[in-house]
Amino acid sequence: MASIPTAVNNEAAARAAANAGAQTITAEERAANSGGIRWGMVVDADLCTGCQACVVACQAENNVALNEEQRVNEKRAKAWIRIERYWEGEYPNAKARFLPVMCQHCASAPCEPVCPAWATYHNEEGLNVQVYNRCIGTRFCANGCPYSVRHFNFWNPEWPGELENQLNPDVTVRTKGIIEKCTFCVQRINRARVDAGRQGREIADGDVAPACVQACPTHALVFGDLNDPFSHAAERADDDRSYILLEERGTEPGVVYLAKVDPFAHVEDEQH
Amino acid sequence: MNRKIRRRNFLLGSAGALLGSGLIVGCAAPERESRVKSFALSPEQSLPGQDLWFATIDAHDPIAGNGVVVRTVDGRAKKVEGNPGFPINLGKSSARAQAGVQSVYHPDRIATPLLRTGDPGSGQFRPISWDRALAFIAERMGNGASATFLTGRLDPVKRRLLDSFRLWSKADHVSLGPDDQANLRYALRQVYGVDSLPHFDIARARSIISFGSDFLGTELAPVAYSGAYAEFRGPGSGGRGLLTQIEPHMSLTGANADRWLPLNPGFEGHVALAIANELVSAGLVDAAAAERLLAASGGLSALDAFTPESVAALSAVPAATIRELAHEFVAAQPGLALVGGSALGHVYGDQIAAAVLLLNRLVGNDSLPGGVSANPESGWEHLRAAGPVSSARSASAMAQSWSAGAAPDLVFVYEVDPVHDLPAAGFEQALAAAGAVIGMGTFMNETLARADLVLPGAHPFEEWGAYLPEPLRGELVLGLQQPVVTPLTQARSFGDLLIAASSELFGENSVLYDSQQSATKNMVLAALGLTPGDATAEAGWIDILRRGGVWGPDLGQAQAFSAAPAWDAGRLRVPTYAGDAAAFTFNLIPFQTVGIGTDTQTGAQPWLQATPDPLTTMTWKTWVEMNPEQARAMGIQRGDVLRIQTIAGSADVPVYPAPTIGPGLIAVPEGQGRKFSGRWNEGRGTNVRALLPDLTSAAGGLALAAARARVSRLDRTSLMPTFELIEDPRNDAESPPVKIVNG
Repeated sequence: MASIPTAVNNEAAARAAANAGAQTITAEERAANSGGIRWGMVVDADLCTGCQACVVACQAENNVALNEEQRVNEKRAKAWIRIERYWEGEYPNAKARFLPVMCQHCASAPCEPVCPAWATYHNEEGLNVQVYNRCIGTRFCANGCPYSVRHFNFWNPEWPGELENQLNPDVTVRTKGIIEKCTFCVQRINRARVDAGRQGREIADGDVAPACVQACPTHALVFGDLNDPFSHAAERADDDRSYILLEERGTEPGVVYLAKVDPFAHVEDEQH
Repeated sequence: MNRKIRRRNFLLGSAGALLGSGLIVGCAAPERESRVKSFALSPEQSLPGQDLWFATIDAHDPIAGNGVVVRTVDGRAKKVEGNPGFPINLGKSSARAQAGVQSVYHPDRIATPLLRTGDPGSGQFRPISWDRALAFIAERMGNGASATFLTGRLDPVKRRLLDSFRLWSKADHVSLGPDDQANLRYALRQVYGVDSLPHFDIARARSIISFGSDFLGTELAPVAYSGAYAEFRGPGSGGRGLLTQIEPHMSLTGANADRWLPLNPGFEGHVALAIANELVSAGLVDAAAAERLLAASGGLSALDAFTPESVAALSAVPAATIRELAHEFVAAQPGLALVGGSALGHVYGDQIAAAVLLLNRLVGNDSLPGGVSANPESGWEHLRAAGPVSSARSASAMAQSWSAGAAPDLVFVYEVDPVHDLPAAGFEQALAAAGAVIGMGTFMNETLARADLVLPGAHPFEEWGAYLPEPLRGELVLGLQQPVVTPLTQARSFGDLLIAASSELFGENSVLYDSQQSATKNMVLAALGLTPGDATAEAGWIDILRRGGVWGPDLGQAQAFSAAPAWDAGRLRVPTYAGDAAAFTFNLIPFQTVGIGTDTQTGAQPWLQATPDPLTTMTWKTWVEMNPEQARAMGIQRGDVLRIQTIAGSADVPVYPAPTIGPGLIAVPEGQGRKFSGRWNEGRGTNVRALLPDLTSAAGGLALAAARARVSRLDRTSLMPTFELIEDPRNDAESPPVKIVNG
C-alpha cells in the first residue's frame, strides 16, 4: 500500500511558499539592523518572461475594474501592475525587453505633496498610501507621477450579473472620481500582521506576498522589508545588476530592478 | 480519542465545508463529531471575514493540470493561488488560472437546460427543466439508438463513468485533444518508445535549443516550465543557461531567448538534422556510439543529406550558425532540444518533431541532469491518463463519414467545439446529419449552438475529479479536483448526468457509483489500496483532499526509453504548403497568446480578453503581425485592415507591424471569432482556423502552419486596443528603461 501523505495548511503554506527561500529572523535581529520596516519589491528583469500572470492576479486581488475594449482604446484602462515591452534592434535582430511597472512607493514621492486633500501620503512603513475617502479627484498626483501608475476612475466600475461575487471583500471598490493605484496589497500586509500577532510574534520575512509576487512563476518579483538586511528582498536587491527607474528624478523608489542579462549584447552592438 | 477540533482548525481545513445547505465534501473534522453540531448555530462559513481555502486542480495549462488553492468567503470563490505543495507548479500560477473565478460567476454561463427553438446555429433556445431534459435524453438514447460521445480530454473519473455508461448503451466515444499532441506523441514513440511526455530537465540544462516550443507561454505546461526556466537562468553549476529559439514567428519564449533565429517555416527538422550532421562530422559526439544508436533507423549515412550548407539554403539559418549551435550544444554538456509551436503544424510536423528529439539522443542526454528522462506511468488500471485521443485527421474522417450518411442517431457533445476548432473538417454538416445532438458545457459555443438540447455543465471549481497531469518531474502525481463552491446555476457534473441517464435507461444495476463524488473517492482510494469506509482510508482521504492530491516516488511504474530510436531521418521531407506560391505570396502562421486560449471559457472572460499579448500589448481583437519593412514597402500602417485570403477562406484583420516576423510571413492569434460565448466574446475578431485547409500530418496532427495566404489592404482602418501608450517604445534610446548587462 502506498503511504498517505500528511495534511498541510494550504493558506499558510501558500503564503510561505510565495517567498520560497526567504529567511525568518527574530525581531531582535531586525531591530538591531534596521530603522523600521520599509516595504519594497525587487524586480528581476532577467527572470520576467512577460507572461502576465502578475497582471491578472493583481486585477483579481484588488477589484480592479474591467478594462473593456473602449477603455483600452481610450488609454484609460487600469492596471496597477503592467508589463511594459520595449524593442531593441530591428528584425531579424529584434529583442523584446519586458519590465513590470507598478507604483514605486517612492520615499520622495512627487504625488504626495501636491494632493490638496492629503489623500495620498507616505506611511511609516514606506508605503505610498491612497485614502480613497479623502480623494477629491484633482488628479494632481497622477500628473506628478513620472511612472504613470496612478489611475483615475472616469466611471463607476460595473460587474454585471453574478460577477460581483468574485470581488475581494478585503479591498475597497473604488468609485467614479477618485485615483487608485498599487498598494503593495496592503490588505495582505495587515492580515499577516494580525496573524503574526495572534501567534505572539512580529511579522516576519516571507509572511507577506502581494498577489503579483505570489503568482509569478519565475520568482521575478520578490517582496519584503528593504531595511532588513536579512530579508530575501534586501538580499536580492544587493546585486551588481540593481538599478532604479528614472533615478534622475530623485524619487527614491521602493522598487529595485535587476538588469536583464544578455550574453550577446556586445555582439549586437558591433553589428549595429 | 484525544483529538480536539478547534473552530480555527476546522475552518482552515481545505477539505470540506458546509456551503449553503449542502454538504459537498468531507471536512477536517471527523464526520461523527461534525454531525452533532446544532442547526441553531450559525454555519461556520457564514462568519464575515472568515475565509476558507480549498485545494483543487486548474486545468488551464494545455495538459499540465496545476494544483491550486481557491479562497472562498461566504461560499463564494474569490481568488486562485498556486498550491505550494503541488509538485507540478509549486505554488505558482498563470494568467488563465488567476482568472478562473471570473468564469464561475460569468453572467452568460449556461444556467439551465436549453431546448433549441430556432434553426441549428441560430443560438435561439428556451429554458426547460432538468426533468424535461432527462426525459429528452431518455427518449433519444433509448430503444437501441446509436450514439457517439464527442468530448474533450476527459479526466479518468469522467472517463470511467462514461465507459460504464457505454457498456450498457453501446455508444461510441471520440475524444478530441490538443491539435499538436498527435505529432509530438508520434515522435516520442518513434524516438524514445514511450507514450507519455518525458521530463525535459529545463532547470538543469545549460544549453537549450527550442524549435518553436513556446514552453514559457502556451505550450504543454508553461507554469511548471517557467519555474524550471528561473532555475535555468540562475547561476547553476555551469553558469547561466543559454537559450536559443528557432522559429518563424517570435513566441513569448522566443522573446526571452538569448538568441532568436528566424527560419523559413517547416524547416525546423532540417536544421535539427544539420546540427546532428555537424555533431557527427566534426567529431563532437562519439561516431561509433552514434552509429550504434542509429543503426536501426538509417544509420549515420541518413544524416548525409543534411549538411549545414544545404540546409542553410532551404531554411535561411546560416551554415555558420548551425555549426555554432552544434558546438554550443555539446560544450555545455548536455544540451537539451525541445520542439513545439508552429514546428509541429506542418504536413510533416510529426517528422519534424522526431528530428528534433533525435538530437537529444545523439548527445546522450538520456536520464542525465539537464537532459530527458522517462516519467513513471500510472499502474492504476482505472486511473490511467485520459486514454486514446483522436487526432484531427481521424476527427475529420469521422465528420466526413457522418455527412456521407453514417451519422449516429444521437451525438452527445461535451466540452469540445469542433465546429469552431476544426472548421475545415465539416462538423457543421456532420452534426446536421445526426438524428439529434445534445450538448453540455459551461458556455455556449459554435457546436452547442447546433444542438437540440444544451445542458449546463459544472465549472471545474464546482465538481469532483482526478487528474494525472503531464509532464511530470520524475514522480507520479494524482491531482484531486473538488468543488470549492456550490453552483449558482443549475449546472450538473457530466458524470452525475451519466449516472442519472444510466439509471433511467438501464436500471439501478447499471450504475457503478451513485455520484461523480463517490466515483472519485472510490477510485482514488482503491488506487492506494484503501477501502472506502475504513477509518484509515477516511483519514487518508481528508489528507489527500487537503493536499490537493497524492504523489511520490513510490507511486507509479517506471518507464524506460527504447535502446535506440526507431525513426529514420530519411522520412523528413521538405514542407508543402496549401496554395500556389505565385498567387499566395505569404505563409500564414497561427499562434496562441497568454490571455484567451482556444477554448470558450477563457475567451468569455473579460480579464483574459483584456490581458495584453506580451509582444504587441494587443487586447480584445484579432490582429495580423507583419514585418515592418515589408509593411512600409506595401504602404501598410498599423491599424490598416488587411484582407487575408487562403484556399480555404477569407478574413479582414487589422495589421500590427512588428519585428516578430520576417518578410513573406504573417501571423494571426487564435481564439477569437465566436458568435455565442457571452457578451465579452461574441462577434469579436476572427477565427483564424477558418482560413486553414483540412490538412494533417500522417500521425494526425493538424497542419496549422501550412497555409499560404494572399494579403491586400482594404480602404479602412481599425482602432488598435494596445496597452502601450506610444507606438513601439524603444529600449535602445540613450537612457533605456531596461538596463542590460552582459552575461
